[in-house]
Amino acid sequence: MSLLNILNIAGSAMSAQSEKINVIASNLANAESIVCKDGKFYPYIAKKVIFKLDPLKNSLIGGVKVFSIINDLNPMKLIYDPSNPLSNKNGYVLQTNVNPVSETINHISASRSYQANVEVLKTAKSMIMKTLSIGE
Amino acid sequence: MFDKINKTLDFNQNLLNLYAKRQEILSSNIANADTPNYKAMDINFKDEMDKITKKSNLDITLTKTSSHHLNPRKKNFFIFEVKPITSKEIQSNGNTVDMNRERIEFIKNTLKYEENLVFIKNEIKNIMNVLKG
Repeated sequence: MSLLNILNIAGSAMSAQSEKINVIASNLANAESIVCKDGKFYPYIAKKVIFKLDPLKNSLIGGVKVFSIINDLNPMKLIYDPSNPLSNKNGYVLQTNVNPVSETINHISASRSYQANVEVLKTAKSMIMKTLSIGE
Repeated sequence: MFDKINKTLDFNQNLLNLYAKRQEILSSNIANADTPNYKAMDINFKDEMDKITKKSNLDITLTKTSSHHLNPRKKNFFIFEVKPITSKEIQSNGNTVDMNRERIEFIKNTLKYEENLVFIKNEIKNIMNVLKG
């Protein structure tokens, strides 16, 4: 039944958007973090969520799923800080490529999408309830 | 008489199905507003309405082996043609969902669906009034 499918579609979109918000929160929280890999220290690399269509059976439409979480390809910043123990011989330190401004904007857009899907869910529910009361 | 009742209810039922399907498509568009390369879909209301009124759908017949078998329902209106919207506006990630349009169409479609429900309710009320006398 189409109306029940709406609940699945909006639900999948909500979980995908909250996953995105999760990743954004992790990016912001780790903006100053250092990752240790193979005995070497690297700054934290921002992560990005890629969405994909999750089609219904034999159909062009459907919900959303998180396709993959990739590293942000933006270049890292080099900052002159000779007192830092991680600085190279010229005194420069690699810093994370997390951009707080774009992360905040993405966060707002994701939460707006989440809200839009909540509205869809509410509407679908009230439609189903009204349909059920048809013979009264 | 029952044929007439069937006819009105049948038409309204098909219309409700159409609205419900459209609602599903619009909700999918809203859900995929951020999905790269997703193309916004819709159905052509006029074409589907023509299909419902003309009843020119493919007949599916069943073999009857006894004279007591009932006639099968001949029409299948559950298949609607879903097409991508041709829009000028394409986002940088290949997505063609226009959120403003989708939200307005979503609300419109909800209201049409509920309006149709009211029609059916009143139809049933009328029938009940006639039956009760």
